[in-house]
Amino acid sequence: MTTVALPQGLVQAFRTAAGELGHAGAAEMFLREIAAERGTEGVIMFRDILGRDFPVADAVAERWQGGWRPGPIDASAVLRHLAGIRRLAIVGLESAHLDALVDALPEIEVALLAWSALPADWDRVIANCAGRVQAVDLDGIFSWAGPASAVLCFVYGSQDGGTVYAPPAWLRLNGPDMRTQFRSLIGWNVLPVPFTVYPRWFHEVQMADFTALEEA
Amino acid sequence: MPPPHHHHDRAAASAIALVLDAERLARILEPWLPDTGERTYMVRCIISEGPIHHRGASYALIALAGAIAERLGVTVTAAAPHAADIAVPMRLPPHLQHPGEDPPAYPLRLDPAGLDHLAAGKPGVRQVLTDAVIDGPPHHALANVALLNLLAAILRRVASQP
Repeated sequence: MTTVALPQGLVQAFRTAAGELGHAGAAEMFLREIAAERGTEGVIMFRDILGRDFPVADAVAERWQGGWRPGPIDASAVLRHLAGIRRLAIVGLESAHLDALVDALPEIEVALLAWSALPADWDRVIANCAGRVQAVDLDGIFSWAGPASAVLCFVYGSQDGGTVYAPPAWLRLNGPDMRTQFRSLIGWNVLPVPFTVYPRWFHEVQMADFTALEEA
Repeated sequence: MPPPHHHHDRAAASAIALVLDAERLARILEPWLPDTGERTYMVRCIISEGPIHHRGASYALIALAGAIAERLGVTVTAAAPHAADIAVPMRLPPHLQHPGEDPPAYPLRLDPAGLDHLAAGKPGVRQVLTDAVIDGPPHHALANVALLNLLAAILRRVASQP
């Protein structure tokens, strides 16, 4: 047991942040603040309070306890798969990684599939992208199809077993029609570590779903 | 006891997948798809998407036509799309198509010379056969186009021989 208390409403606050920043990005932000204010015991408490309900946050916290700290986001591995691509549709949300990608691709049009299991104010999410990202729905994303179009999905989890965890939106989108109407289907694994907790909010999918899979 | 009407063992999907040589297919399609990214995309559509039996059948037909083309010394210099080549459109849902605007098309285009040979000057034949060839699921349409392009090249080669 820890003796450190964390603010009431932590779960509600994290839920909102995870919906609009992404599970991993929100976890990193919360852990950075909690570790600064409450130290290691605060990190343990964060994990105790949120871990079962938010497995990505649990995995980030476990990593944090092991000494890992988030560094600058390097999108170069993903960029290699975007040569010749002019339009990119994003599935899932990790806002810091999306920002890094958008900054590195000034000449590419970017759309974000505005749908997730967690509630989000998509107008606010899009407004944070400085006019570089448009929202699309599951139907409208096919307006982005073409020989120079790609889909990028944020995924999580260790790749050792040949699977990764993808947001439910990927399952809704990944069909025979979409697969042949986009040149590349890229998975960007922003948290390539084993999960201790069953990946609630996400689904285990085959790595072979993607034409390229890169770890952040 | 085997079930009645059991004539042969079905090949496992994984067994079919194992014999599909993406590099071989990419080499065959290179003259029509000089861009590596586009070539990889088209090879994926033909032998990594759609029902497994289609993947195997398409591979066998294209690889064999490629082998014949190679044996005959067929050379294809189609790095730039010919004006006569026909686009293979993506089949977007109708409500997403904009009137007066062409739908996006796959990078592999149809060389209509083979169909023109069949038409033998009869009007309309190229159009109806083209429509049949490029309709349907993309993996099927694109395999049709790859095979017809090879057959057109083979026909040219055969016709040029004394």
